[in-house]
Amino acid sequence: MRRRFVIGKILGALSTLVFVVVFNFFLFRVVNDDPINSMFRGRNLTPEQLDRLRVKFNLDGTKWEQFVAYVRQLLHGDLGYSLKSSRPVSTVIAEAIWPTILLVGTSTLLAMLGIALGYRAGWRRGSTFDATATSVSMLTYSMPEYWIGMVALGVFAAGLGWFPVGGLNDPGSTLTGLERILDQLHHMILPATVLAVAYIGEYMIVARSAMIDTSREDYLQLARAKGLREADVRKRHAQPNALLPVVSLSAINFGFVLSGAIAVESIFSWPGIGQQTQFAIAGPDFPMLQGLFLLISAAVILANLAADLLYGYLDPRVAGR
Amino acid sequence: MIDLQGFSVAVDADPARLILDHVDLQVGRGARVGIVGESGCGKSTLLRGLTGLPGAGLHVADGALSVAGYDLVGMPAAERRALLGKVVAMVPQGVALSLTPHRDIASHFADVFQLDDARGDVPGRAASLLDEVGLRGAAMVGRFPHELSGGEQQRVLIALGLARDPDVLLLDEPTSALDVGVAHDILGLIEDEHRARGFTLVCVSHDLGVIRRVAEHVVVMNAGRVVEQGPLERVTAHPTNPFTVRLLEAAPTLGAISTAPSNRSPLVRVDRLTVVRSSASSGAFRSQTQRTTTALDDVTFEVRKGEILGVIGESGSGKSTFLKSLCGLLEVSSGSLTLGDEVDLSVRVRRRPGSVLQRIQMVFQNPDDSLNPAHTVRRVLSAGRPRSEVDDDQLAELLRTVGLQRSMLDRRSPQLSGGEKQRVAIARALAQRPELLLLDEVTSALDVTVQAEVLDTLRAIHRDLGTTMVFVSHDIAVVASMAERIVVLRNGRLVEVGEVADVLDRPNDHYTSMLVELARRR
Repeated sequence: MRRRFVIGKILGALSTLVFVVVFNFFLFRVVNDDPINSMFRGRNLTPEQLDRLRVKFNLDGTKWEQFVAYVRQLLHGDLGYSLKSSRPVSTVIAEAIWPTILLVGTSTLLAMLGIALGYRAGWRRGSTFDATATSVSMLTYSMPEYWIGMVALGVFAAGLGWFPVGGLNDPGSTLTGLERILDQLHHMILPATVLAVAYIGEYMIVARSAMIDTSREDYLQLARAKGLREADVRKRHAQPNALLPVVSLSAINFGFVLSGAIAVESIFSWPGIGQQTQFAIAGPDFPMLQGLFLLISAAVILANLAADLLYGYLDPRVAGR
Repeated sequence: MIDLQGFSVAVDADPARLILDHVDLQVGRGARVGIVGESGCGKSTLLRGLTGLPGAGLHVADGALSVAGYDLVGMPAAERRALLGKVVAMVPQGVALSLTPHRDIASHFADVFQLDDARGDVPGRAASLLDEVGLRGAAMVGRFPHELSGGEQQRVLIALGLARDPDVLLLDEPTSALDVGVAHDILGLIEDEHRARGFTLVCVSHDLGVIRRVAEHVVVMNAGRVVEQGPLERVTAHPTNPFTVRLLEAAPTLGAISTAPSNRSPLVRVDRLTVVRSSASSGAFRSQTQRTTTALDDVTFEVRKGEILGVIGESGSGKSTFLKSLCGLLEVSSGSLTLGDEVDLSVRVRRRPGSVLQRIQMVFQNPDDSLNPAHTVRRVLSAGRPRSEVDDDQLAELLRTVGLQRSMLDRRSPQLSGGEKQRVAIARALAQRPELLLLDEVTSALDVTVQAEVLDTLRAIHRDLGTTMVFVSHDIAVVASMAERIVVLRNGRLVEVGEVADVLDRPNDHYTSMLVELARRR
């Protein structure tokens, strides 16, 4: 039963991924039939030159031929060339992905502090702690991240000058080794905090309501009647069950770690996936967008698969044991 | 062993509201006490109060409690925790909800054993306790709560209660969610354990039958007070308090039985009806794990015009499946189901014409689930009819039929009591002027006195309107008091069908005779 559960989930994730590949390919063909023509409209290019560009960007032949070629390239890890920079999409993504994982990953982990806050608030529902934590969470949850970002930039970077205004390093920086890393951390503090503040409310609210639901369960009464300390009742019987909605939420958010944070990366000129997405949309740079969409979809699918498998582990009823 | 004097429990938020109002109770060592009363009377609070912890949002307002010489209320929390399970152990209510779903059975025992600082061989000790309560312990310890049947879960809960060999064992509704036969076995287990271990037993139940089985001393509670207590025989034979009298009278027993006029024509013909239900599991690539069960297997009988047909069976017997196929909520796999002479009822509800839908109406078990809490009673009753056709006088008349006042029209279901909700649900069904009324365990969520009133209302409706009714219940005494003929189902098969008197006096099947036997004993 258990193996069947795992295999079923993996097959499900793979089939979703295949669907995404197909959809992702045809979506961009429907949106724009001949991007070469629209990109170079008004420029002095001969039809032969245009045709050569079409071959380079894999836009010649029938849709089916294009698709087969696309899948073949994909299997070799080749995502085509960016229309804008003419560099391979995979190279651009590879450069942008680490800054993004660093920034968004750190802030997502920071935001998970909200889970602990939510548990505490939900367990002592109606306490001063609960009232304070809930209203602060609602406040930060309702503030858009670009707004928090602009305010933080204005106050702490431009105004007080505590932090640099943007980038991963100062332009023309010659620092190396540990100093370089510390400098990058210094650059990261502001955007990471902004993102964490924007995310923490969601975790807190979800964790709190999960804990409130769980705290009404009869099995906690039994745990108390057995003579367990309140802390043990919470740790052993309540928290693991209140974890399920939180796991789903975290999975979705971890999936989006790779998509970067378009608004915050743009505000802080952070050279990550979010910034690349913004550039590609502005282009529009179709091969780039296509590559980014595939990356984001794959990340979300993988994160959900991880959540499904974790679910099966946390709740024996899910895996059909 | 237990000495309660002027014991009062109040609500934290409103200290003037007493859930328990100066309760006095003395229980000797090894005695068996039953506490009986209706929902909200404070019996469960009293039971929890005996552990010194009356429950969330409640506190002990007054009085003294002593259990085995310990003042459980006055002592520090840490000291009390050490005594829970050893001096006084609780077996909670709510079979399917009381075991933590993500923990296996052994770890439920580990919690208890650790309190004695003698963890040792947890699975081994757990297994021997489980063996003692009639389970195969070695196979049980590694399993999770959802893999156990209701009866098995109840046995695990009892074993947990016994784990530290308590002086006092508290049982809260030990059989309320169980089928009659399983409940019988559980009560037998409780009697055996009491004899073997000699603990003091306090059992709470709304069901006098349960109290009769396990107790020698009975305490009757109403509205937070003890209204009567004494030896079981004295209280049940010569009750002195009017509430006790009412409770005893309302309890369904196998008594007066109506006989059916023989010349009735069939209204519904059930011919070789088979319904296969599949429990579809979600997710891709799992169609191969889809399980099917034959919920009704080749069942043939008829519902006669103008009768009340009782359908009896335990969970999984197919009784709800039968009702659901009648009203088109389930697919008929084979066989036929005909209304009158012409209408084919094997058609799903979506494809039935309005005239057929109107002829069959159903009332569900739990009105909390079947009435939309956002709708007023007026809206519930006028559903499915154009606004111009509905006027308050009609609706008031309808409410009068089910014994409710016109003033109910503007209320919503959360403002109604359990009995009132079920009456509204019945009125909703009657609003369509059905020929056939399907009643699915309509009183099993109600207190016995309320149940008696709702049953009276249904009898009056049957007498005045002549509506044909199919009355489904797990309680043979309730069915026998309502129905003229009876159908007994078990595991999807028809066990027997016939006049109530015949079935009760000369059961053809050992299952029916067991049901009758258990009902007679109450």
